[in-house]
Amino acid sequence: MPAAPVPGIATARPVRLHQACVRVGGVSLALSGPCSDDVRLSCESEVFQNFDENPDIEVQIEWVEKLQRWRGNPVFDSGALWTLFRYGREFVFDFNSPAFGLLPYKRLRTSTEFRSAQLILSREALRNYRPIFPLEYPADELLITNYLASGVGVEVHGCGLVDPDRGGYLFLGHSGAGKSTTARLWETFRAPKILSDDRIILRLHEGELWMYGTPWHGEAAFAAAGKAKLNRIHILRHGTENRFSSLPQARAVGEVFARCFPPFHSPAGVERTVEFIKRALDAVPCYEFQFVPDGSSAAAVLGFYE
Amino acid sequence: MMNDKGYRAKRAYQSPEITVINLRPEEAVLGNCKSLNHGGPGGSACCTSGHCMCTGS
Repeated sequence: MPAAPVPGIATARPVRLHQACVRVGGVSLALSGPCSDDVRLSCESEVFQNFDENPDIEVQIEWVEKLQRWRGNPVFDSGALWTLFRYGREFVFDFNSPAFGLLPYKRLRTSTEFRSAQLILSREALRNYRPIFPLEYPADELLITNYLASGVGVEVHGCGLVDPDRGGYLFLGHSGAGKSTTARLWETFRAPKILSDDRIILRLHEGELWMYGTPWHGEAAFAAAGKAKLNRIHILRHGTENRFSSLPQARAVGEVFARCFPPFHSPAGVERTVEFIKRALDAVPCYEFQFVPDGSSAAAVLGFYE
Repeated sequence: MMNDKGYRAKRAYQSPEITVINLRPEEAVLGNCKSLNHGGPGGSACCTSGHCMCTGS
């Protein structure tokens, strides 16, 4: 079903001369604008290009001379680049950077369901910054994670790889837990396809848990479009030996939630995210994996059977 | 599991436990510095060079 227009803000649609479409985590996102520069994708996102006639999320690019600060109280302040406001049923994300002073350089207005959006760019702020990638991080990731928060998936902080012989493995961890180290170790010893060394999207298909690569990589810069079925989830911890500990489901839900990207501005979205994680852990078991950072850890994972 | 009298065997009582799980909200919110090697406002505003250890990276 095509994305519905944002009520009240999409009455004057631009002529669609140029369009780009990416597919991340099984979610298709189409970007349309009046000129080719408006739909430019970063090199990471280009790997995820995939045309879809009926995208899940539609984003229209528009330019204004200058964006003023949004009036009203924010419903969420990221403490970083973006602040979120509500305007009726819309979400309004204002993007600010110290490089541009106090005024926003970009504004993202979305429908409640995150199926259609308007991305408004400030000519004044961006005049000296070329080329422009309208969907650059974190706009693309915000759209997709919020779309997933309808209960259809979740993005997690993890390293996902596909072993040529044994299939998909997922290692979740906070920063510094060893995700990029794990990716490099497996690359050295097993030559897997590494979907990401930092951010993976989880979806359920007919009761099976699948992971998807994303463009949002970590230190080791692994990012690939692809997906793989999972048979278990590992929570990474540094250790003095390679050891697996089975986690009770309630604990596992908490550990996975602590390594995901929930929509903190939305209690309902957080609840649906927890419910999704619970369903994911109905499909596969979860283990804490204490590991030593050498080739023995990959061998331990491959040799471990429940 | 059934016992020899045909009744369902009771599981041993386990007292409830509180487990503290370490949340890191600063990592769970999108938008912390994520150094991507391209132009654009976010990238251009970054003054870090070389190995980035910022939260969210």
